[in-house]
Amino acid sequence: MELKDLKSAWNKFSSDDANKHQLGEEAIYDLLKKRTLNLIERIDRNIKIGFAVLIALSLLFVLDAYFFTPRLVAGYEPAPGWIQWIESLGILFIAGSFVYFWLGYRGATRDYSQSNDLKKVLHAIVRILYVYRKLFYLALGILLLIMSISFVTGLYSGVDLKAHELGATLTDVSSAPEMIKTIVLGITIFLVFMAGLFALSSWGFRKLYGNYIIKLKETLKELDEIE
Amino acid sequence: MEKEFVQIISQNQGIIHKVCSIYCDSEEDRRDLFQEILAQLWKSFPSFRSESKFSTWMYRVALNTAITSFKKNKRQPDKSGLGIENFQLAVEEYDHETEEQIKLLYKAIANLSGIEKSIVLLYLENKKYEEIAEITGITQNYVRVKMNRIKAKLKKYMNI
Repeated sequence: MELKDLKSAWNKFSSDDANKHQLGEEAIYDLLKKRTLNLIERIDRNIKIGFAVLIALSLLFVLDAYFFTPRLVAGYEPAPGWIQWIESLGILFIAGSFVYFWLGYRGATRDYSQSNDLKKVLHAIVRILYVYRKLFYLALGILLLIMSISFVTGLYSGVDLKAHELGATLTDVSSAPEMIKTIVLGITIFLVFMAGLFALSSWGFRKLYGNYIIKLKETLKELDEIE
Repeated sequence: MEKEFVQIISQNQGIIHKVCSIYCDSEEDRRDLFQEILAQLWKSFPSFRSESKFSTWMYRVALNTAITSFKKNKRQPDKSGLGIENFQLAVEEYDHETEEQIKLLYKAIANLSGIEKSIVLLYLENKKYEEIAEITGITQNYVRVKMNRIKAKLKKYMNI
């Protein structure tokens, strides 16, 4: 039996099957109105929410460093120049990441929405998913950056305060074995926490979209072989 | 425009049902994919130009949506190609030979890739290579090459 011999069986079955699932115009209207968001639309919504949350967090960080703390903390003394430099670089990094991320995302969504070309659509979806993953990392990166800067500032203030209490110099206190042990332990816990957060987010992303990305890439590979 | 769209889709909805029946293995998946294709057609409708036939454009959007669709369901797909209960309900009205042929065909098609499924569907729908090429965006020559490979694969899976 050849495949072409199956055409009549297929035509009979597929036409009957389509008739059984036939919808009236009202039902089609309803489906259009009540439709749920597809994956890309859900990602688009999540990215916009994530973006807004990150901007709010970053603004809070900037306001806290330059406005709230200097005005509200009694006897506030500005952090040393090198800490202020780290804070400024952190803000620059966050702003740069936003611009980079947003440009990449807009490019990918434009290709997705403007094209019925399968290859372009596949490339666009893969790009959108990777940008989505970048947002995860960007959010984590910003969170960790804020935590790192706060950690360094806190550590410095703590050592400085201790030095004042003991009537010693900062160098004397920070080179004491107990203090070195505390700093090393603090940094170690912090690094373990950072690594854990990154590993968890990578695993979560792979679990959610790993197989889907593999499927899309296989289809792209098949299309490349065709060309 | 919405009224015109719904009318034209209503008249041509068989295309979406056929695409869904090839790509989905359960009624739930089928409903989701139908809705997703409908939404994608609605979004792309303003860009439809009468340079190609409406059915050609509709096949292209429906097949691209099916190939790139994301299944939330984590379970392994049923390799029969359709949920078996639905399948039996659907084929019970046919004679034994036709029923066996359809079952075999669906089982074999379930093993094909997304692109191969689109080509075999269009072939079964009696589309000429020229139209298959236009819908899938693949050259006519390669559609022929691909179709020969698909036939060999299906023969192997169907033991014919």
